This record gives sequence, structure tokens and C-alpha cells, in this order.
Amino acid sequence: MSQPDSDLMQYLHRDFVADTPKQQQEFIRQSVQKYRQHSQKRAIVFTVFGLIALLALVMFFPIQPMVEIFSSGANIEDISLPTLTLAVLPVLLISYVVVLLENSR
Amino acid sequence: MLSHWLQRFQKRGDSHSFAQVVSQCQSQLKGYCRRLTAGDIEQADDIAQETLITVYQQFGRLNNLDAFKSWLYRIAFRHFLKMQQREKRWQCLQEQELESLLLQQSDERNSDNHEFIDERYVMQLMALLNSEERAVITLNHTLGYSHQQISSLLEMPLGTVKSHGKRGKDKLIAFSLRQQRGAA
Repeated sequence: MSQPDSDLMQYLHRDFVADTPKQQQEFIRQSVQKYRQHSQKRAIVFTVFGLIALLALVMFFPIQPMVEIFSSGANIEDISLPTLTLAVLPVLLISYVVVLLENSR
Repeated sequence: MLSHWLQRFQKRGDSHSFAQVVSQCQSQLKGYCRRLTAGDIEQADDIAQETLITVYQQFGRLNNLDAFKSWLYRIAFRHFLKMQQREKRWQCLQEQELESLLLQQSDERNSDNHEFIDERYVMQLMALLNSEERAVITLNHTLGYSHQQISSLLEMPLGTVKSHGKRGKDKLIAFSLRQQRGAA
């Protein structure tokens, strides 16, 4: 009578049986298809939200002070830190949205 | 080879590298999922694909590429548990239930493809075990992870991993003995 323990261990220690090459190719094809669908969906969502964010920024952000500061030719030391922060904030926000879009590819 | 494609996928995020990564790890991933589902091949392959999509979505969070496979199996186990809860499937079978299931398929066991038949037999044996036992037994005995590694992989205390492993093995041995007695 064979040892059930060793028989069982033999079964368990054996590597998984691989599918046929055709089945493997089919699995890869399906996985890549799903991957593409997900990455497309992701890109669309980020693009739409990115555009909405940009639009909101353009419509509601006080861009005029920023333009005035940069066009006045004032020395950078003459501008207070809060004003400067406010002025560069749109640039930072736009950069952030661009980075998000880039990462969503 | 896998690390090369992982690095490339990390840099470029292109579908070609993704396909190569899938090709390198699909056999083990599918085998693991099939054992978890106790031989429900179609659903197991779905879990494997969901796992790969999660890999793509969360790849940025993986700091150490050497730990890729452990991470992959952890994600697969989570997907399996989620699907099991949602669909109320793959519950533990009693010895008698499994025995009658195997009897129904005894004709197929006489076919030529012994490798595949043996693998299917192991997958079906997994039905005797609960989810954690299936994962621990497969990771330990087939994929070669130590109890310590499984403990961090499945985020389970070491003692729990050991007891799942022992209980699972005892159940399988008891069933094998029962089958031998039946055959004698």
C-alpha cells in the first residue's frame, strides 16, 4: 500500500500544468484588451476632469492680478509673499493637472 | 526576464510590456487561482485577469519589483475572497460530497492526459479546505513560499498560517486514506 502522505505531497509539489500555447495566447490577448479598455477609460476620465478643472480655473480664478503683477515690471522683492503665491498658484494648479493627465496615460 | 519586463512596464506603461509580464506569470497565477476556486477554471481565469488589471492600476505603489509575485498572489487572494463573498461560491465540501463528485468523473480519470488529470484532482481536493487553507497549502507546497513569507503575503499572523497549513494537510491526508480504504 502506498503512503497517502507522500502521494499527496508528490501531487502538491508538482508545478501547475500549463495551458496549451493557444490558450495562453488567448489569455494574453484578453488581458491586454482589458488593460487597454481600462487605460482608455482612465485617460478619458482624467481628461474630462482635467478640462473641467482648467475651465473652472480660467473662469473663476483672479487671473487679472497675476497678469498685472507680471506686466508691471515690478521688482520681485517689492512683491509680498502672499501676492506672489496667489500669482503663481494658477501655474502650479495647471502643472498639477498636466502631471495628472500625463500619469493617466 | 520577468524583472526586465517589469522595469520596462514601470518606465513606459505600454501594452507590449504588459503582455510580456502577463505571459511570464500567467501559468502560476492561473494555477494558483484555479486551486483557490477548487477547479472552477472559468471563474479562476476571470480572477486572474482582474488581478492583472489591479496590478496595472496599482503598479506605482509597488516599491520593490522583486516582491512582484508575492504582491500578485496577495491581490489574487483578495479578489478571490471578494468574489467568493459576492457570489457565495466555492464553499468547503464534506468528504462524502467530494467523493461522489470524484466518482462522477472517474471515467475521465482513465483518459490519456495524466498530467492534466492529476492537476484537476489536486484542484478538486482543494474543495475540502477553506479559503485560507487552500491559499496556504498552495503557496507553501506548490509555489515554495515559507510560512514566514506567507504570513506577510497574506497579512496573517505566523501562528495562524502554520495552523491553516497543518489543518489543511491533515484534511487532505485523511481524505487520501479514506479513498485508499475505499479502493482496497
